[in-house]
Amino acid sequence: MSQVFFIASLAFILGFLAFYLVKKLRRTEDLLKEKNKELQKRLYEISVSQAISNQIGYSLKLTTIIESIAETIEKVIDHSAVSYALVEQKSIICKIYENGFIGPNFKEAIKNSLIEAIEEHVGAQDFQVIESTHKEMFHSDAEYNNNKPASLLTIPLIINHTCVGAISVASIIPDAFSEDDKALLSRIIENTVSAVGSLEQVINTEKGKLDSFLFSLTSGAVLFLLDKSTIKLSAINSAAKQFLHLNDDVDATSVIAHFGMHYDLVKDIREVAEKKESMLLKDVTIYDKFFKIYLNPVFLHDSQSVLGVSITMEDVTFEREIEEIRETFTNMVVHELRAPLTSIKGASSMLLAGKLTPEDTQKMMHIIHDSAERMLMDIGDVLDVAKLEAGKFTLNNAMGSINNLVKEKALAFSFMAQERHIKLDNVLDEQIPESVFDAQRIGQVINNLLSNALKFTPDNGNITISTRLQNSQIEVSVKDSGLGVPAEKMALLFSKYGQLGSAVRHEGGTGLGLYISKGIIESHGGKIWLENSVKDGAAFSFTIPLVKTLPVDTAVNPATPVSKISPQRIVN
Amino acid sequence: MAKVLLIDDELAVASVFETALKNAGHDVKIAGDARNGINLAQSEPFDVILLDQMLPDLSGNEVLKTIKTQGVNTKTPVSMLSNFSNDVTVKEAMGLGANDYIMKYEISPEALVEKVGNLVTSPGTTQIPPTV
Repeated sequence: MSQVFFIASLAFILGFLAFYLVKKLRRTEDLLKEKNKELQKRLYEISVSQAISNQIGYSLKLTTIIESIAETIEKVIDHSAVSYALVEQKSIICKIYENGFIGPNFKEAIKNSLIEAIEEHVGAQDFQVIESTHKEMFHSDAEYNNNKPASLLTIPLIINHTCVGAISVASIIPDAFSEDDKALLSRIIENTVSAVGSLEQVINTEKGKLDSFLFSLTSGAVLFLLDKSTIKLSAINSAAKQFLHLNDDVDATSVIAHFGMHYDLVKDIREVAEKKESMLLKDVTIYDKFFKIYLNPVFLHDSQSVLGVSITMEDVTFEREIEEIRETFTNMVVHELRAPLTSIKGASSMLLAGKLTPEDTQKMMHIIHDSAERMLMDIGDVLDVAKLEAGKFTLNNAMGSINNLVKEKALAFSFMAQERHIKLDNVLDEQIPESVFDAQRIGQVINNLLSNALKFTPDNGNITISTRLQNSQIEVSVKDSGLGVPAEKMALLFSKYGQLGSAVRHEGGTGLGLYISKGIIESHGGKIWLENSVKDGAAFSFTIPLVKTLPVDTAVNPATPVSKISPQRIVN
Repeated sequence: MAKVLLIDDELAVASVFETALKNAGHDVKIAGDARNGINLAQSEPFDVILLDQMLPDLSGNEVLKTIKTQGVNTKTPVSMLSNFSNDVTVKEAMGLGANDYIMKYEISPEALVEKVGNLVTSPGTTQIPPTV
């Protein structure tokens, strides 16, 4: 009995175990099936996303993206219509892909649902709605339906936190979309949107880098895109705006117009795009400046089709001015050396011909002598400049009286001044003690200032030369009653090119006087400047430090090399 | 004998030219700047005017323009003088009615005398000299 019981019990246990195992196996099978289903779904989603991304390619054009999504959905979800709406400035572009025979009520409901979805994110606005219908997938045997959709699923499209549109699927059948369909749809949209979003971010970052590079350029940069026959402005940096006298609000028309005032830009853009070759334009004048302008075709990546034309503008005004000044300076040197040589040649020809009266002979000999002297002085000037610029200018310092030097130089000029009835006064501070300076060089500066004053003071005018001591500095001023220095000459006055720049010649000499004077004064550790007034004439002053004892080493070797002349930038 | 007006601020060169022209029998008046040159050219007739291109107060071409349009010497042959020049000023001077152009450093006193003689007898227009 117990055996029977045991067997029965065993059978029961075995039966239960079998039942349990079968059940367990079934459950595992179910689980596997489910997993498989889930996997299939995922794979499907991936393939759908893949298809969409293939269709979109590298395009970031919203219409292309949204149409790809709509067309894909059409193939994977059973429906009567797939529709999308896109926000474009003040309007909404709405497109319905009909799959069934639907009427205006049906469409109206879809449209309203799309607009609602958008407005939920961007707020209610007075949008202009542009509608279109697409009937390619239309089933002619479908039943006409003019009711509102029985099922409607609408999902907004949000790229980088901005709602750009919405997509919807609609059906005449109630509960047409399963939870899976809904999940698939949201996932497809989500994936696409996030891919586009990150692509857009990458592009924005790159664009940002490019923009900051572009905007930091001192050259002007403009990019025009060519769309069939129209030229569109894609980018312009602040330098270009400044060169073209444009304010912030610019478009292709205004940029071209501002170029157009000076040269035909459109013609060159078309030529560059057509020939696919760069172009360089030299010496284009835009407003008051000179430019080098480069035009380059911009190709669509790896292809030969021209997307647009980039323009870079390089301001070469300063280089042009320097070039002009250099040329004028060379011409001046040629002229200044040629003038006395011409006199020497002419006068010696006259002497050689030998038909002159004794007075004329004397006159010719004087001309030769004076011209040779003038040439030597001019060459001295040029040499002084060369020495100053090379830092090889030397001073022969000695103890001396500035007042005595001023008196001596003023006396030399008094005869010339008397001839023109110009009153030449000395106002000297007799308290100034003897000081260390190079009397010959400081004398040269005083000569230069007095000769300038005499040149620019009209007959019957007056010139005052004064000295004073202030803060251990000896100051010498030469004030005249002339017309002062014209404003346009002020900037370059103490420069090498101070006397240049007009068709009218300066009166004799190289015009280097003030430049050399500045070098001499600065070598002494002093300053030279001009106080100018159109009403009261010009007052040139310089200071040199009062040095009461001759340094020991200078006494042994009086020729002290001094530092190189401070470079002077030419300012306009 | 011709009446010659020499407008030049390069006194040494002017003096050489004056001596050469006087010795050849011409009557020479010298103006050392544009203002005096214009004043003289406005008030008395001359047979030839020699006019320097670079003067302290005005350019030679500006003086030429005034002489050719006002006063008693509008028909007088004018030769520009220069020690330095370029195409622009030469062309401009010729366009303004200058009859000749003399490079001072090139011409000898005898050649100058000959040129003045030619200008008096046949004041045609000379070819523009090459750039210096």
